[in-house]
Amino acid sequence: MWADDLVEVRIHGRGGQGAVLAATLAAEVAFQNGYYPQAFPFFGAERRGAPVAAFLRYSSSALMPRCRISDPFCVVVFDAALLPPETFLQGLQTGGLLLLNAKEGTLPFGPEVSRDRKVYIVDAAHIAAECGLIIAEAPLISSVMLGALIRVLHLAPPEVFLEALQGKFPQLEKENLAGARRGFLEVKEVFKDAIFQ
Amino acid sequence: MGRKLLDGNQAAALAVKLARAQVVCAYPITPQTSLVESIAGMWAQGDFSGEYVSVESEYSALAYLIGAAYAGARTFTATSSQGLAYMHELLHWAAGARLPIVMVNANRALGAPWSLEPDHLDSLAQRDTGWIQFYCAAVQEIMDTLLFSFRLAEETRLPCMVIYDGFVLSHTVEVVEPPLQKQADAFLPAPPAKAALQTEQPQNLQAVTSFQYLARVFQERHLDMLQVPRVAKKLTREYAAILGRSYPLVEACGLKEAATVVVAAGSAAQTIKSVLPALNSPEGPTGLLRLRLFRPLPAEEIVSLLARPHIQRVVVVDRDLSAGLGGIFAQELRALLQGSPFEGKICELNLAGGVDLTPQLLRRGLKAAAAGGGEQGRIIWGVDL
Repeated sequence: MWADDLVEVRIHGRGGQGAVLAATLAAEVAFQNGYYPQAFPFFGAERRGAPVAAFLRYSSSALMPRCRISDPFCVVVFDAALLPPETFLQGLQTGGLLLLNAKEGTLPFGPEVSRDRKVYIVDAAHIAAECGLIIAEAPLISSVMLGALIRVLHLAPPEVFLEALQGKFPQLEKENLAGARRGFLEVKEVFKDAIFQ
Repeated sequence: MGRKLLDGNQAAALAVKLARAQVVCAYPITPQTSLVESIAGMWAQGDFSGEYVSVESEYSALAYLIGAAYAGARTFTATSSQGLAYMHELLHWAAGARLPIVMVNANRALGAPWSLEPDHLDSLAQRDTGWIQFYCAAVQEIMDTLLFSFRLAEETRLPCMVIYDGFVLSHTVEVVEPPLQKQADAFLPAPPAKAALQTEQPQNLQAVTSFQYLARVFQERHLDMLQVPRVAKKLTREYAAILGRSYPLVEACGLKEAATVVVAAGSAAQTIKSVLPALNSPEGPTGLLRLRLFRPLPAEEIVSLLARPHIQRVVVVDRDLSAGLGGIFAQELRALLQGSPFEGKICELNLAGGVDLTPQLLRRGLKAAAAGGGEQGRIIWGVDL
């Protein structure tokens, strides 16, 4: 229909968690790697703590659609407790990717979700805390999720994306770059060995 | 400056800075707010050479600019939706007084009920105020059109509105190549020094008039409006020579083969363009006509672009509604093409309320149009497809 390499991503988070920032910085990384990106928030007024979504689209062609993203190749979930799985799985393509901020063994769904897609987790809250990414006792997980997203999309190797992100974080740059690197390194696929009848 | 990522509002703010606007006065309203916040931020940091004035309403914002423009200043404001509606009375005044004010409107549906959807009725409802209207389809185009508009407004002495879809463009980050300041300066010279109002020569402007005089004022404004395409084409060549980019007043795509032509304005046109090669309707290939300039309506361009015997059908996408009549772009096309082979064959795909035009919805709309669903003034409603 359009460029074969068009990739569409939807990020679910809570207002204030940095979902929009992650989409914008992923666009920056895609741009530095020769893609034409679009990053946009959901259409509405953002409120701290309320469910929000952010979107990313990139392709090697500048001519891309401008509609909203309804059937993403990749879904990112900043807070798996925020939405029921059927909500964040909505429209996720067959053969697509699901990336969650979660500890192993705490997922709100079973291996059946991985039947026709890959499921990845990263313990972003824990990594953020270890990197000193804490404000008002809440972990800032945006950069960790960004690093993990870059990994699962095969968007760029660490040295390339860390270079692209220099000077792009509004605060705590050193901590955020460390968090992004660890997100990239520590994201892992789950249910890899699930057997379906 | 090199290529970088900016959203539509940031790009517009940068264009206003590059244009060396002297007075910016605005009142925030979503989805335009981040534009005026950017300018206010630049002003606070000493990066913006003009004045930034905060007021308590959109009405006051435009009133302030009218005063500043009478004094000869290069002026800018930005608004959306209810804010633009609130300016309505003064939009007429700015045009009647021939003040070259430039503004951005980020499309947002008018309430009630409250909404943030990118419906076009807010700006289309200002169609008859005498402002030039451009509808943009990309962030780069917003930046270029805005810089261009200051020059066009000043040369024609007509105010100019640069319009783009709220969120779809105002909040979408994409790759742009900002002009250099020296390129902007080469295209856009300093504003004319002679002010309409000068303290040494007190005057009473726009005093009460008789119809004999007023009729001439309206006639002159109309005739000058009709000159806008000619002036814009001349300036487009100058802009291209300096900045290497240009945009047609009406963008045509795939018309050489097309059996069906989709007419659209704004960001939806880019979605259509991106899927055009795959959009063969039952009647044959599909082409696109994007209305970039809407006031004045580039009638000659539209008529000559559609004057091809292989074009069988015109489908107009309207993301607006004049309740009781239909989409406004469709009505204008029907009036323009009265007596042409398209008479009675102009279909309307209506997306009022900000219905998102996906490739799937477009296909269903074209199928309904091919089945005759939108002929004779009937509407194909996007929300029903």
